[in-house]
Amino acid sequence: MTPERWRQVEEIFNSALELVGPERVDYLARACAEDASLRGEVERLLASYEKASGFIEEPPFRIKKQTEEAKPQHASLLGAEFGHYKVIGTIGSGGMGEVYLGQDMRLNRKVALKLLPSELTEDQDRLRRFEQEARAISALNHPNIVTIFEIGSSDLGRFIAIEYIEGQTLRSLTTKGKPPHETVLQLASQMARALCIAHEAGVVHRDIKPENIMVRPDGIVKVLDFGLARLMPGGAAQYSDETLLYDTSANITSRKFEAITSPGMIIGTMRYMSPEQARGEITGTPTDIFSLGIVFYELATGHHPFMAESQISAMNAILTQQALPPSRINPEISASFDALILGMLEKDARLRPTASAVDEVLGSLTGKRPVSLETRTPSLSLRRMTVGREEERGELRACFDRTVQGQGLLVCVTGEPGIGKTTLVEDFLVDLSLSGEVCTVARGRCSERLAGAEAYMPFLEALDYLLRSSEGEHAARIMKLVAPTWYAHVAPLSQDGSPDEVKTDIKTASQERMKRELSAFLQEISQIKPLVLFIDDLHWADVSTVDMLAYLASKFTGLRLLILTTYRSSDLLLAKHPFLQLKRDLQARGLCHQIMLQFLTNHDVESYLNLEFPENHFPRKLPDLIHSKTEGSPLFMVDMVRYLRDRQVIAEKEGVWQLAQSLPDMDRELPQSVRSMIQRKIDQLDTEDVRLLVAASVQGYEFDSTVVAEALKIDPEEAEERLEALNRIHYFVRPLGEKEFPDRTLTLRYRFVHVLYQNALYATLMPTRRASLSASVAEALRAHYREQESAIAARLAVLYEAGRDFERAARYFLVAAQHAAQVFANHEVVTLARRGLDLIKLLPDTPERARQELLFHVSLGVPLMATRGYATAEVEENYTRAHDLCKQLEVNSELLPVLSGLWLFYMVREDIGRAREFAEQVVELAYSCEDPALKVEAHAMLGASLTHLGQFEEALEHLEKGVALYEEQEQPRLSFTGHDPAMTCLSFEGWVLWSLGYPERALEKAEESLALARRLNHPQTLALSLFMTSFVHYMRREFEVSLRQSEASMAVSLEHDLPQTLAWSSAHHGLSLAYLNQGDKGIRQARESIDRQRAMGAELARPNFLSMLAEVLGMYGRVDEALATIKEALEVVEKSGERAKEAMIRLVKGQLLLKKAGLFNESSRIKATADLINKEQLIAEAEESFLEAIRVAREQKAKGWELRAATNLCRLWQHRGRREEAREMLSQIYNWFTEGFDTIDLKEASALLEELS
Amino acid sequence: MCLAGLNMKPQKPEVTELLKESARGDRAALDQLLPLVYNELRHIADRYLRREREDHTLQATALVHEAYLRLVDQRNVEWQNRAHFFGVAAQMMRRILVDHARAHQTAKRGSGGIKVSLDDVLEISDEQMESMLVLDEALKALEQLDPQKSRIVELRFFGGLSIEETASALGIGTATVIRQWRMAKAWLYNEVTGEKDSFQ
Repeated sequence: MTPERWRQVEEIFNSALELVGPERVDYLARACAEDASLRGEVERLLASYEKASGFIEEPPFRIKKQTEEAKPQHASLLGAEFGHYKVIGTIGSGGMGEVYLGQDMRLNRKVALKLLPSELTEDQDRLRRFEQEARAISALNHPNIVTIFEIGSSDLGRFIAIEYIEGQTLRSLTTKGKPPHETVLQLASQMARALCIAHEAGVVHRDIKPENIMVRPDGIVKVLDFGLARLMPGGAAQYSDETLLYDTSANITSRKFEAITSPGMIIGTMRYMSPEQARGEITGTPTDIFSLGIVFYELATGHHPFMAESQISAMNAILTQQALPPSRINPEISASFDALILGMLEKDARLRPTASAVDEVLGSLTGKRPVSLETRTPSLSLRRMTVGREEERGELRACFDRTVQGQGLLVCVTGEPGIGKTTLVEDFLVDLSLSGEVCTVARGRCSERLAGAEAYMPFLEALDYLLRSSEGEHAARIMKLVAPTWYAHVAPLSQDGSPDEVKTDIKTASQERMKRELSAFLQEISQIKPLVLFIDDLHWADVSTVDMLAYLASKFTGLRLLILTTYRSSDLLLAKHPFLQLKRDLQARGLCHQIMLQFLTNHDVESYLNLEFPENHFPRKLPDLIHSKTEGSPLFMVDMVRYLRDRQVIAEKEGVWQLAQSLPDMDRELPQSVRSMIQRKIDQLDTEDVRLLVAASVQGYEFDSTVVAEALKIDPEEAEERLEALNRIHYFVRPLGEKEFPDRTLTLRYRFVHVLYQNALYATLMPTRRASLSASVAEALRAHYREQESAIAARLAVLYEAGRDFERAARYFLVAAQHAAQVFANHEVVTLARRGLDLIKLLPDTPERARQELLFHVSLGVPLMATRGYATAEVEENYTRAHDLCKQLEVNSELLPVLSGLWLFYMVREDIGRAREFAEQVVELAYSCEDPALKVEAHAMLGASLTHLGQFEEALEHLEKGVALYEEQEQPRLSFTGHDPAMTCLSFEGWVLWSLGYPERALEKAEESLALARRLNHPQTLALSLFMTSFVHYMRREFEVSLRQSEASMAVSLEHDLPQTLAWSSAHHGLSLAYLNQGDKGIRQARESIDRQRAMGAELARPNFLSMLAEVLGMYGRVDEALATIKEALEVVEKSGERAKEAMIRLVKGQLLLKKAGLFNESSRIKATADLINKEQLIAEAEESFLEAIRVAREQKAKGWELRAATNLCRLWQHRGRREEAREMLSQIYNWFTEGFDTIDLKEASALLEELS
Repeated sequence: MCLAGLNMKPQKPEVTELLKESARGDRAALDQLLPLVYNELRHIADRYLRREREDHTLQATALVHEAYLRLVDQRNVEWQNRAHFFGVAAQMMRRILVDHARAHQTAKRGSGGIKVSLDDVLEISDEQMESMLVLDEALKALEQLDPQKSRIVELRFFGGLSIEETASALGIGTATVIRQWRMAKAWLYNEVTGEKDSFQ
């Protein structure tokens, strides 16, 4: 039968099936007309179809049903005895066998008894494991976990005796209707507690489902079958009289056990599987969390989160689908519970909360949890007497509540020094923990000393704080996963032994990625428990931190993050700090709330006195006096009251506080400012204490007892004791807790009660003493950090600078700058390197100094490009100086980044000739030091430069060499520009080969480049390769492919933040669109992207894009605009020497001139002689332009361009009657070609030749 | 949940890679993939016998799905590859069953007595065995005539795929699958019941 016939039969057959009775007969008669055999065939098939209703509809086999003959007859066991247990009834049966109600004859209580199946008891190994596990479980003594009494043996076999529970399974409870929300939380909380206890004991349940959870009539939850399910053959629910089964088709429940065995029925378990279980991977505690998440979901909403028609679809849904937030189904569900459930249902096991976190959140939601101060309050939160801030605390609380609902918020607490900003926030945090709110707190501070130099300082501190907190393990897990770059930087500080494993992956990092990672991390960490991030003293923040805040704020929607900051508004204003602008923006968008602290009132002072001295007989005017003296500054006021008490002016007599002096006397004696107050306090101390505090002030606002002791060469214990007294008695410092240095030395960390104290103490230092102390503190710190000193390099640098050890200071500034470069904190690199360079000038001019200067310039290179633009004078100056130093010192080691930097600078600035010179030097360098990887890179650099210059043959030579050398390499490495050099070579080869007249080979190379990029799977390389390949297709005039590839390149660039490649590929994409008839949209996009490139300071490839833009503008009749673009392109070519597209530019110009002349356009009429002259002139100019294009192409041996230009010229000549000339020229170049006859250019040329002959 | 058996997992990444390559048309990759899938199907079927898991939790036709879940790293394949897998697995299932039926016949004739492990697991009536071989032959004939229809039958009948799944596996609409399926059924029925007709 022919295919046509077959199709015909099928068509008629199917149509006929839709019809019945006479209609069908009619239809067949019509459709088959005269063809009786056709009709016969169709009718036969129709007849077969009717008969074949069940045929091949069912699978050809069934899995055999499990035999259940081994099941003992429970009726007959009534009255039987297992050890001291007597069977008095049955409870139910399940896959695990019969469950009997037994009576413990010794203890006279009811138990549940199970006979262990013979398969289990006969296998010694399995039995042992079972018993082991059972013992572990029986050790779990908790009211929410069913107790195992014993595993015993009797004449009837081995059995297990379990606590008997009167109640119903969660399944049967929920089928009776959705319980009230309060009950849901109570039940959930108990389940979580049970899991929490088990997980802490190392027991994993592995089969959490409603059938395994019993609820007693008194509301107590009991979780059954911990860990046993896994060990039981065919383990399933035990209380199966209550075990309700899902009917997959209709989702209704059935009570019939028999139903299990009928096809299509499943019991609950598969629906409570975790993704890792479904994939057959190793499971652990997170599996239980997932299953419990499903149980919670169902309990709270009445729906399964992964509803599906079949079990397989359910499994698939568990693997791939995101659950709908439960609150969408049941609006009663609070944001916290919602987030908790979704967090438990994370596909990635590592992201799920731990059972204790679940327990904690539920504890707070049910409000039952007793708040334990030890675990909740931060170490420095002694309850202090605070007055006059109730309203502000309420505001903070309201902000917190808003965040809990899923809206991130930045809160600024502002005011002058001593107004109580930090105190307010600390008090609020204590409020939070006392109220039993579940949240995670992290703190970081900006430092005065390191203002603006230490990148991301408060964030790094906050992350460090998190890693050290009780949630450190969980935080570390998530950080490794979603913020590896940050982890690599924080982990060494937290002494986690494994930062290296993550470090390997951070090569492709960027500043953008840093931001994205941190935001992802905060997102994850705050999902279960809202996160409060406290950043103190923001007025000293570095630029990167402000940047980071801006980025986080842009992600605030849905983020349960409250960022609390404090800053001095006057300092911000004076410094024109970048945060000001950000704050204003955020305020306008409602994402920032400001609390401006005011001075205290008389009334506040009075309240304070009454709180501090509950029983007093103070003169009524005392509060007024103190208020007027201190102007209501809280710090001053508190200090003054303390001062008065210390001096016994306020004294207790017979249990009542009284004033020992008259008010006027007091008035005369009191200090006039907070500074003189502090000074007076200092004066009261003994000299040893002052010495200690002064040394501490050298270390900073926060300091270490150990470091201070070492700097002063005193006994660390003595230092600790003194500091303790200074805390308790004199109120100078506050303890922050114990800390361990990287060298494992323990220290007590302290901070001054206020930064003004530190300032005052530091100010008392004489210059020489200050220098020597600074150096000693630096030495002490360095000794404790050892190999990890780079983490505190900036601090050391500042200390050594103060210690007037400029050489060391410079060295640490360099380390700090390099460290900052690792986190892409470009602004800070520049600041640090500049500070270091300034210091170096103070050192004697030695080769050592020159070497260091060189290193500073090298580390400045890339950050300068990033912050100031690639092609700024500063960049040039920096690299040129570095280059001079290299020559002066005759060092080669640093030459490579310098030459590469200069090469890149000149490439981007479109001084390709200069760029080429540096590329040549890199080649020379590569060969002189015989570095194979460098050779590849050097050839790629030079090849690319030559290509842009239009020196195609020479370029090809280098590109081919690069590829050949690359293949010999074992370990290819990325080039200076961050791409794979062989990909660069291959891509440029594509461009060059097309230009040289080999369109097929060009395509091959482009495809090789793409294949390589895909194999390497490196985003930068792939994005560039896709772009370059789209470029080759564009030259081949395959615009659809070009469109697709530039689109793919855009996608990769967007995903990985590659702005340069994005601008290129987006321009290309726009142009391709325009070629494919989407003129307006395409041209707009191309123009925007070309402008964007320029805004980034990148002029490279501008002639390329301009020529293409001109061509499409011409296509859409925008001839004058196009000619202006051509003019610009030619100017750039002249200036830059980028001649690769010169022929193209000139030929497009010719085309445009012809269009303007209206040569091929019949409708344009010549109205006057002037027009005619004008027209002729345009034509002559066009001809000239084509000839020029051909001349350029010949010079460059660019046959591709020559052919295209010649085709254009010859078409003109044909029109002008110069056919012979045209034929000769065109055939000459056409015949040169050996390949690519299917490409548009060659086909056009060939068609024209045909016409001409 | 008894998933102990699942922990002995075959090399997922390898299978996933092979799958991707063979979906791209790499013949060698397919050749490597086939025995892996085949073994896995046998293995799963075999496990039912040993009752390592709840036998009633999976339908017979879900064998193929389970093999997929076990063999392929889902996070790392696109749906085209997934469809391709079902295609391969259905083909394998067909091979297993036909081999099984053939071996069974041989055994019955008393010349072999080959022990087929599937025998113990799968319930297949003698009648079904017979028709399996006939059907296999008919399918081969259909493949000559109309490869897509033969493929649809393979996916539906041996692979246990639903209409929708078949449609997505082949990248065609469900309506098309339904039409083709009806026709294939009628035609095959004709073939296997011996009601041969003129159109050959």
